[in-house]
Amino acid sequence: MELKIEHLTKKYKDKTAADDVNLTITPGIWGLLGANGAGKTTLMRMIAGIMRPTSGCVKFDGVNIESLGGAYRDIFGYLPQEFGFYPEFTVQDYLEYVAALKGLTKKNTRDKIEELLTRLTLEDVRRKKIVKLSGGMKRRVGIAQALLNEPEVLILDEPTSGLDPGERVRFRNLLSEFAQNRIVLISTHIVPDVEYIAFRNAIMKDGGIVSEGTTEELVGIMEGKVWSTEMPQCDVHKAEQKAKVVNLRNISGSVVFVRYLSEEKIFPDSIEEQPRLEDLYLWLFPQEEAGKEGVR
Amino acid sequence: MRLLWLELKRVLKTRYVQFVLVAVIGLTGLLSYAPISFARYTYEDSNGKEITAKGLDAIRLEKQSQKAYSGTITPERIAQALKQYQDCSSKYENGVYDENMPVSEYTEKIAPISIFMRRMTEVYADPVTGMGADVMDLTEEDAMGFYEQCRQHLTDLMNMEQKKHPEAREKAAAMYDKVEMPFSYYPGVDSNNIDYLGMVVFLMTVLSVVITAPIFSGEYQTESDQILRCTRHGRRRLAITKLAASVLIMTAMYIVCIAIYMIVINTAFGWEARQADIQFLFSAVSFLPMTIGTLQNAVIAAGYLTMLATIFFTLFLSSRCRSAAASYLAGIGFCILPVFIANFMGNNIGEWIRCILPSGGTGLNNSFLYALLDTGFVYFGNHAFWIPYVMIPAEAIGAAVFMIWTVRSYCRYSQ
Repeated sequence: MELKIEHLTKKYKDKTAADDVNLTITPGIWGLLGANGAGKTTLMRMIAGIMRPTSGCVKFDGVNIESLGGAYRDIFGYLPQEFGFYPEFTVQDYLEYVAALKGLTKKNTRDKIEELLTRLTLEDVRRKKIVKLSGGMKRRVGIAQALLNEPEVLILDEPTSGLDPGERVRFRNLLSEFAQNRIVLISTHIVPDVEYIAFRNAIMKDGGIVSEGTTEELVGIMEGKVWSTEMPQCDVHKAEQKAKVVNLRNISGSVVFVRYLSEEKIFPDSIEEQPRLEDLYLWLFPQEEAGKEGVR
Repeated sequence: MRLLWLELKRVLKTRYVQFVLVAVIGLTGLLSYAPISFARYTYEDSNGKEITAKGLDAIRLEKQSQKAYSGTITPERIAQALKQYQDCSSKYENGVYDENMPVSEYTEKIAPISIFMRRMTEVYADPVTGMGADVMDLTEEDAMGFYEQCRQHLTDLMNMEQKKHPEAREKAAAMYDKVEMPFSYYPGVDSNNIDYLGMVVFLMTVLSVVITAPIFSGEYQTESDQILRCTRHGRRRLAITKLAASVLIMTAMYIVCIAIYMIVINTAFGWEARQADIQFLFSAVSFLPMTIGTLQNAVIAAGYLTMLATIFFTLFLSSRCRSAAASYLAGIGFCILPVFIANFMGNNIGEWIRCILPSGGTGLNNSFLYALLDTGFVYFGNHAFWIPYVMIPAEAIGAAVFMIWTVRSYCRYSQ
């Protein structure tokens, strides 16, 4: 089973949202990383078949998804970035409605909804209107609908936005379990969400894939570029001007631990650090905010 | 069927749909009551005091006073009515409008036969100017020749209105040949009943637009369609289901509202009044052989077809608009457009446009009802087409075409 993206391009009047994207996605969890506006959502919509590409195509097992039509949608699950729903629906109503659209039998629907409500800890809110749920709960309802038909291809656009840390962990575990022999593509700009569960990652920038590989391979790019040091609090501002600081942490009253990215050691006494996927992300997208913990 | 049931449940659970459905039933109740509330009957009691009865009492008294004139209207009965009118009127300097005429005399002798006189003045109108005849100038011979004069009046009228369109004149004469004579009349008929039936149809058409306008566009706006379109049945079948649910809900609403109106009105004014010929109530030269009952039925059937065409057209607009507000505006705009065209664009092109628009069969003075009672034609080269005969096929074709286009448009919609 493979999902092949061939020369996929989406152009608007004044912008190219996806620029000649080529990617072959095989079973396992894939992370699609990129800053906001990198073209992830556009790419996902084209893979979902709800946006027509300007050129190029998406093939599932060698057949264009447009030709597959309903057969492709039958094995497909999708959670868009903006989870739109009917305001009048309760969680149960909504899942029943989507299940009917996915062609599940009545019995299947009942069993599957029960299972997903339990796994996503939504049993207590099944009769509540979705509109009245918290952001995290809405997101879980969105995930539940995507999993209803046990899709072979699951596309999740920013699935963890709005989830608290506990929910994030549960979600990651659920996905890891689910992804056996299935294609799962998760788009996110929250790197830790995919760092430990993704089998491969693709990084998007300006509408194109700039890097692709296993987490280890991608992290390898950053070997020798991640450093840390300690410095007085008053020197932090100068340090930020010299290097891409990705982490700051107070150690004692006036001393700060600084983790930074650079081709070479900039500050004396710096030591080389083990790179993480997030370091690569911040290296590629320097305008993104780095984590700054407890710095006053 | 499961999907249809779930869609029906969804739409009916929507707060604004519930509000509109309750509102339309309430408004239909008001519109049903209005013609009853307009009824007035003035008479003198045994003490000579002038009394004005209203509502159901007025209807009952008026029907009682006209009882003797119900049934087939033979020329002899017309002559008798004319004599009664002229005898009564000639006693007063200003005829029936003379303030010295006692209310009781007017109520007993003039009011019950006024409809006879209206038809007489109509058919004996001046063939050149179209001005109605003066009742006092008419003779018994004229009354006896009333039905022959009906045909002559049609010819005169068509010569006047359709001078350049011989085909229109021929078609009008051919249609009128089928009108049965003598006419029948049954008391209780009131033109307000029919006018308000047209208003009920118009109201329901407008409210059907309000209900259906956001069906697709609302989903595009909230992006809730994205998930649905990625499912096995989320394209064509979902579009068809949404169309079917809209039609089912609006049909149920139409049946309930029309039933309320018909039961209230016909019970109040009398079911027997449905047997009266339209020629005696509205115009002696109405083209079609119809009773009030068949006219009501025709307006209801044409109204339903108009509503269907409007629903499918609105759903089509909804499938093309990216926001609910845009589809509301476009839907309402197109729904009331025939009213404006009829009033501000009275030429042949304007007439064609208003006839073929999906909501062309409803409105105010432009509706199918008035077209049916009128002598208006539209023209294409040397050919003339009576307006109701354009409206009905246009709406049937419009309903079918927009139904198909809506499904295609929804399936092809791309972000």
